[in-house]
Amino acid sequence: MSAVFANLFNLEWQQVVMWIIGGLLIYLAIKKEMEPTLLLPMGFGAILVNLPIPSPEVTGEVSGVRAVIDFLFEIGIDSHELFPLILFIGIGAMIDFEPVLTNPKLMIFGAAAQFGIFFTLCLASLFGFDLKDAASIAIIGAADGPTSIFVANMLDSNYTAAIMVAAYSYMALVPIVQPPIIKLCTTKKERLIRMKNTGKKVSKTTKILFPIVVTIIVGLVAPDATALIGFLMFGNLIRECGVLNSLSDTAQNVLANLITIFLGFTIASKMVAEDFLRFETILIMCLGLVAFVVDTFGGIMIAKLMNLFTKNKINPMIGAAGISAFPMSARVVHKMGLAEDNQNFLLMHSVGVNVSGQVASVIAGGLILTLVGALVK
Amino acid sequence: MEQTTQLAEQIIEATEQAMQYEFAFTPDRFIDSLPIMGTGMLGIFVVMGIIILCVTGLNSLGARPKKEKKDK
Repeated sequence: MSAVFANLFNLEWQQVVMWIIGGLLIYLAIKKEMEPTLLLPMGFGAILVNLPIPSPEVTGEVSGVRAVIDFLFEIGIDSHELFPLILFIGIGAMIDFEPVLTNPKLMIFGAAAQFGIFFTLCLASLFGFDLKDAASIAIIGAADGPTSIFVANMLDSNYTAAIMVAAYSYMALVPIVQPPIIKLCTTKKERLIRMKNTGKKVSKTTKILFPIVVTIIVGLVAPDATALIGFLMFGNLIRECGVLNSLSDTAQNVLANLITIFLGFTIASKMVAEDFLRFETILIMCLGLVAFVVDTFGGIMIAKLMNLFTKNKINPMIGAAGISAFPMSARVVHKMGLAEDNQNFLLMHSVGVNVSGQVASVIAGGLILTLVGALVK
Repeated sequence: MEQTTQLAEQIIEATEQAMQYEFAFTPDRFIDSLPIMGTGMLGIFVVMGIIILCVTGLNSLGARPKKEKKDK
């Protein structure tokens, strides 16, 4: 009988804490519907990898649950960042770039809203993290899970799991994090600014050429972002070409869902108690929040700055959508606009800024890899 | 009793492990990272600027009036 319960004595209190964290993630996913597609697999995976089962490094076994999850991590993330890149094909197929193509200057907000990434890099450096970890933590501000995973893994960060959890948690918390910052940075008068819809239409040729041109530009200027932007734009090309509707549909739904299942589960392989329960994890969560806040601030401030020089005033709230968390951030801004004035429809503009943020965050990730990668090698 | 001692040892070990990260203000590292912030932000604006120019160009090409087919 004692043999049946022998494994019970291998249980450590840290593992129980991780079960509670896993349970919390599952609760947030189901009850609060916060990024359930990722938080639920991550939560369950966190419980799974913290069962008192000897790790494959100790036993040398090539089977068993830990070995399988480790294998998924190795092939899906560690070796060539396969899962985040394939997921980007699905994301690219979901994005309609028309709002930004009709009004290209919206891209400026997407660029400005990446300020949080670089600010957090400096802040993390100030708190004693070495450059590669500081850069990996900073990329939480990209508000884009695959980019965070890609950059943290490429830089071989010691805190990959905490970074991934922070990135996805804050993306889910955008509707809670952003509104107070937006209200704090804008006046009521600014929030009431109405923006005209351009009403312009974009030709099919432009829509098809856009992903190709962006890939070439980014590939030339920020070569480290080529993989991310290439996969994103490939997905978008499938969507816009008009002759691959079936593939586009598969990429948006089946492919994205499949990868998401494995991605969440695989990330959890790094949520082992001994690596996760550290003081640094709390610090990383705080720094991630700072990144989101400063991103929002950066987007709003550039809109205010532009208002000083432009005749057609811009509602500064749309700058906040440059944070990239697509499409939550655009929805938040749209809802806030309607709350102030029920005839103020900001959706087209905020979506335009939001998709520009998606592109800008990938470029920021590439630039981080280029700038930091050269220094840490 | 033995298990309680074992648990206490585990807690001490975990605490020591957590203490390995020294929370310290490192202004030198902060100053070293500032050029990365400057270059990074400049880089994003440059790349996005180029993309804006290209999109504007594509839009103007797409906006060229096509020769209308006259059905007679």
